[in-house]
Amino acid sequence: MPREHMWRYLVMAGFFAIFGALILYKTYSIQTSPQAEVFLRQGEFYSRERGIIQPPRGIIYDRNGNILAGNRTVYEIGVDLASVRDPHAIALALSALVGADYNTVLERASIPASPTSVYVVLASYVLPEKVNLLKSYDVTREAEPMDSTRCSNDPALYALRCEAQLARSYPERDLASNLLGFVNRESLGYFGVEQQYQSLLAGEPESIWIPVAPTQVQARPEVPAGASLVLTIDREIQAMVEDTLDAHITRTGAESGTAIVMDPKTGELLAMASTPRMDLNEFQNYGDIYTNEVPYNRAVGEIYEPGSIFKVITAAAALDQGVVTPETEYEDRGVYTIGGITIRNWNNRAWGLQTVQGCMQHSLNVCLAWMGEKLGQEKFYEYIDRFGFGHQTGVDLAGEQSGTVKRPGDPNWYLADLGANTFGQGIAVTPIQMVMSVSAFVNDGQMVIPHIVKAVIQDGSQYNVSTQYAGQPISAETARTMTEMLATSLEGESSLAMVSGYRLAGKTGTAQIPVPTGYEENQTNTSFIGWGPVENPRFIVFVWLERPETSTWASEVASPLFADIVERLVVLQGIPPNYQNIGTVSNSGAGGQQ
Amino acid sequence: MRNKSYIQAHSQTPWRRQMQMIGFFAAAVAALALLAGLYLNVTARASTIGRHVQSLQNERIRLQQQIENMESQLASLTSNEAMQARAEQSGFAPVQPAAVTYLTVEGYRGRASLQLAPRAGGQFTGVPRLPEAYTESLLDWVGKLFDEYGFGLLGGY
Repeated sequence: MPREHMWRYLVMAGFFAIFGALILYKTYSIQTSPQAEVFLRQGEFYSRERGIIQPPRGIIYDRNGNILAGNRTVYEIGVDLASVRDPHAIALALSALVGADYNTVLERASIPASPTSVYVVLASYVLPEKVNLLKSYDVTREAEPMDSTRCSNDPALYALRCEAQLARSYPERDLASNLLGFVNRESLGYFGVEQQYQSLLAGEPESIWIPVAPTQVQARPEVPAGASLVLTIDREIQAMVEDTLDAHITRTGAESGTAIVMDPKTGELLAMASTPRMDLNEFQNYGDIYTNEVPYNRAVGEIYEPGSIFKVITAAAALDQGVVTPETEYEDRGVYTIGGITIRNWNNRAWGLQTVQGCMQHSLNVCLAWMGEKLGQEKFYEYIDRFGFGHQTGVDLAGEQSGTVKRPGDPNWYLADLGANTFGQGIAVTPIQMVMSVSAFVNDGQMVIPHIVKAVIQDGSQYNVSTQYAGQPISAETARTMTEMLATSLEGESSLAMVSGYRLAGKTGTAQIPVPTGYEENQTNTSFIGWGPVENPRFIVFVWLERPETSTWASEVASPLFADIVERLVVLQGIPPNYQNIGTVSNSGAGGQQ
Repeated sequence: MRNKSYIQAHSQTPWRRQMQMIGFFAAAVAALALLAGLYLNVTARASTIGRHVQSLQNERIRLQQQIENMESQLASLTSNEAMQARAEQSGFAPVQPAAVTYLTVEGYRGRASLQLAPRAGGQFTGVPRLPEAYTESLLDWVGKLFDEYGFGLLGGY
């Protein structure tokens, strides 16, 4: 290399050395500058996206595996603000094809893109059929595939994003709506099973960071799906009970109705219906249907004065304490004074000499008040407690009420309350409390706790729910005596509650409705609770019609409803008839029971 | 015969030294290029597979949603209301209690309880087992081989 050319190489080398040094210096200064932290955070932010893995909500089955609540795909339509070309076209397309409000969409799609405004939701809960319309909006172009998040093939709508997500679906629509409850758009369960088992059904959503760089892709964590539930409800029995209840409400002009069917041995609720009901797929109508604080499920959420069906509790307590026997005689003079008030029979008549059996058969208030006073206030309220009144039953449904029981020692309790309470006035209970208390008569004195969930399926295993008992308020002998007494009562009265071929036990209840000034005139709550077949009970059926118009007597409106339900229930349960009824079913109107 | 020694006047001629330096530099550049190429190749393959994994993950979510959707659709098609309507269309009517004939079958306990998953804590024999070939070590395999032929050298029994 000629020496005279050496300086050129040195200049070039020096130039590159300085250039390299400058690059290194700049790199170093950026790394150590005060903004370095900000740049690092930004780099970190843009290198990954935050995602939430929402596990599918657990499915709810009836006892035979029919789906009562499942999941369906719906879409959230949003817009990538940086890609918006024509907000008017977006607003027009969404209002025409999806039914969104034009002005709202236009306003949102016109928001300028910024680091804080990247994506805006324009419509949610959009059905796949409508998204299909969007995906094939421009007929001149090939439709966007359904698995693409881009909503449309039209260049003016390229900014639209359609994200598929799961939403609750109720294939049976309004069937069992009172006990199922519903799930809102934020995946929160309201009422019934959906609320009671919210955490189990919903599972645990997991928040994850998804790297943008494909080289850093990691396996997404396995998020277990929400637990599925098998209910004790039988879909066919539930549908039958709802249909029968609705028919009787229409026939009697009642304001509302409630019916419960329970397996008395296990506490499994086979059906539970009340009015009103709603199509759970349109839960947004809840506010229009349940106005004026109407309970969502009257069977657990509404308290009422039960009237004469409560006499079974008074009689059971008196028998259990040995205060009376079914043959004990009482001279009914038509009036009984206790605590300064005069108690009269339902027909204001004196029934003369009666046995306890006769008192129950003719549902005599005077006799029951005498029985209660003979038992004594302390023992009477002890049995009220033992039967679970004034406490929640523990049924696994949201919104259970505990009822109202005034006890001696309470500032608003008077001796007159004891008299009224013996025949079910001045005390407020829930239908489910009545059903649980009566289960003692079927299970040799043991009360079974009603439940709605039969099994939980979680992590691939099935956990069956076992029967639980809520104590033994009465002896086995008292339970059998009560059942026999009430079966004989129905036969003796040729009650409309009787069903040909089956021996049943039960009791009517006609109750006045309390108002702040006393009791309503000519308005009643009519109910009936019964069980059978007496020799091997397979069901307890409770019915309640509120303010019926055709008659104020339970024997005329509630008893036929009970009989209609039982007549169909025995067919659905496959219970063969094995009894020749002594008194045939009569349609002659009210008997002694009211 | 006398040994003669020759001494080189210069260690290398200047053009040889230059050629050597250029050679080393070129070799270094080639090595770097090779490394860069390998890195690029591995990264590209990782990216492609990463994208594939991402698309499979999305596909899995989509299929799960599709299954849930179809289950709900099937439930709607077989709902109580739909089945009743179909039964009526087919000429069926609800049975009247008087028309039912019961046949008592000794020992029949009625419909069995619904079992949608194995009971918790119970034995479940239906799980497919992974063949041992996928889990056993080389030593295990050799040991098994010896056992099979009756040597019993590694098993100790």
